[in-house]
Amino acid sequence: MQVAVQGLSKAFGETAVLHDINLVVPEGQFCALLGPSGSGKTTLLRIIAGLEFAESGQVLFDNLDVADRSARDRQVGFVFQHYALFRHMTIADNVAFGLQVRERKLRPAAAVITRRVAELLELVQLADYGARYPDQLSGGQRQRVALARALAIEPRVLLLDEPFGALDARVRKDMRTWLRGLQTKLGLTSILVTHDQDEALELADSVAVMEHGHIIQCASPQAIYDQPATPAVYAFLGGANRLTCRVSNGQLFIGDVLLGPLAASDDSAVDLYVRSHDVELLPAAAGTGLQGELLRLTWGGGMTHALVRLQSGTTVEVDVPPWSAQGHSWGVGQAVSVRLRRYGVFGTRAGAHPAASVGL
Amino acid sequence: MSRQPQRALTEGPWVRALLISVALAFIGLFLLLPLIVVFTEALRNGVLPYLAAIREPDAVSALLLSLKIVAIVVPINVTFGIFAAWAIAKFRFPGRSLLVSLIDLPFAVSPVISGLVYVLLLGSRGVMGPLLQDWDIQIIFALPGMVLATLFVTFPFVARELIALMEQQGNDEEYAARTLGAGGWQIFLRVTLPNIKWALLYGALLSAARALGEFGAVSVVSAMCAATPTPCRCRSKSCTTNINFRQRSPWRRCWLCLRW
Repeated sequence: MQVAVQGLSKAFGETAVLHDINLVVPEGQFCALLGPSGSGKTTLLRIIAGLEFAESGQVLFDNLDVADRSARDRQVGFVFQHYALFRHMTIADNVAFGLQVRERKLRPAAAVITRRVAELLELVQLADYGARYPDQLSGGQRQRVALARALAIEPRVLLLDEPFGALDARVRKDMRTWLRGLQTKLGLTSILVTHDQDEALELADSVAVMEHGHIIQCASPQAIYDQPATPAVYAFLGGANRLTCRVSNGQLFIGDVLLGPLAASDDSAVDLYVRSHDVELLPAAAGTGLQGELLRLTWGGGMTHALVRLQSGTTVEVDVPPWSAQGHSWGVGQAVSVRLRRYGVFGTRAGAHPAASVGL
Repeated sequence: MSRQPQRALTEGPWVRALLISVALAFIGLFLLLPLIVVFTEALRNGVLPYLAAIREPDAVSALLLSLKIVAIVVPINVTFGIFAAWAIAKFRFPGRSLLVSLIDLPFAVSPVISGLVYVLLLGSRGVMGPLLQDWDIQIIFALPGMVLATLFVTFPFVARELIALMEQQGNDEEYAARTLGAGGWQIFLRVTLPNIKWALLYGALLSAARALGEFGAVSVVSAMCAATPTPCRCRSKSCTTNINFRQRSPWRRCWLCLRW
């Protein structure tokens, strides 16, 4: 089922939370709403579910406006961040709930419900846990029960509100992979809210980056990563360094160092954004032109994180992979040079489109 | 050097012993001792005179009246307590804080004053007096008045227990039930009620205990008139003004045992 949102706006009292949101999620696709806290992504999800109502705009399920239907009638499967399992019911009763509360004429027979519950528990790999209670399960198991419960009513769309936020890192990774496999198998249109960029890029077919109640960019994960529309998107995905540059006669300069040609309309100051793992750390003798001093080294188990102060005064964060620099051992205070492998250039005027996307 | 920080963080053993003894002495003096005295005095002449006193018609009618009041008041409190707690815990609306303060009001007002207010409002010379007389409805100095006065002082118990618990439990389970297709009553009966059942029971018990023990408001409303039926504790007060000390014990004993 296709889910679409048109011109949606929502305010809580005086504060506007969503401004004119337009989004289309085609049938069977997995869409991620990515953004920092306060960007309005959870509110948007709840409006689609029918748990909140918008001031203006439409929510369309297969081009049918469902704005006047409550959450009960929209047939959505909602998975909450803190599971929201019914604590006084067994796992099997939890999963059966959606089927048991149906109207008498639509309710399946008890035997059918039991069978469906068993199938779903099998699907989420919790077949023997039916008689247990939620507080006897681990976080990952509880989230799988929540998913099974949401799937029991055969929803037309699956909505997940930061489903793995409360889990620890290892479990989160495993659940991510498992969820993607399940969604592909079921072919269910899904919308996921997350502030974790890795999650969004790994799981989704399309990512909508949100900030302050606006969707800044909505595209495939690859496009979001390689061709971010604004500095905000660039910076949000994979901590970026910002360097002030200037354009002169179609050439890009940092200070006096020439970086490369740039097709720009006018000579102006521009902002260059480069991700820390797209910067290469080299000894000063390598002569890339961008000289600096090594300020700090932190080892994060594999990758080394270095902070370099360039001659122009700006600091740049550099990720140094373990195999790099041909066995050089770096020391704080050492003279180094950096090479920018991939970067994005944006005009300093707010809202300007990138002057060039990447360079090598 | 390492002993100093330790001393700063924990009190010495003698401080702990002192605090515990003070707490126990307080409980012993103000709670246990009076209780022991009551039981001793009540059964001083043995169990049989005590049972005979309870079986006197006045005693039986007093007991029945108290139980009648409790049987009316507690279900009403439970119902409206649930409504109030649901509204306060699940929704945000203008006047919410005011409602929460109003629920606590009976704790701040003297029961005698609250009884007096009912008399002023619903008595024959009160604001609504003439209207009630036209309709030939007797509220003050009769059972309805006593029920109203008891309702006023016992109302907060259920609501307060539930509000705290429901706020702590949050709304997620109810939202989940909604998305799964449950209607309002189904959500309440299958999701909310099982989660609050113990707090509800506790609140109902507190409410019943308070209803049984309420004296001030009900005495004003029933005016201590010997001709009207008076609940247990009113009897006990009128009896204490009697010189006969021994007669006091069975009355006090019976309402005390109902309270406990």
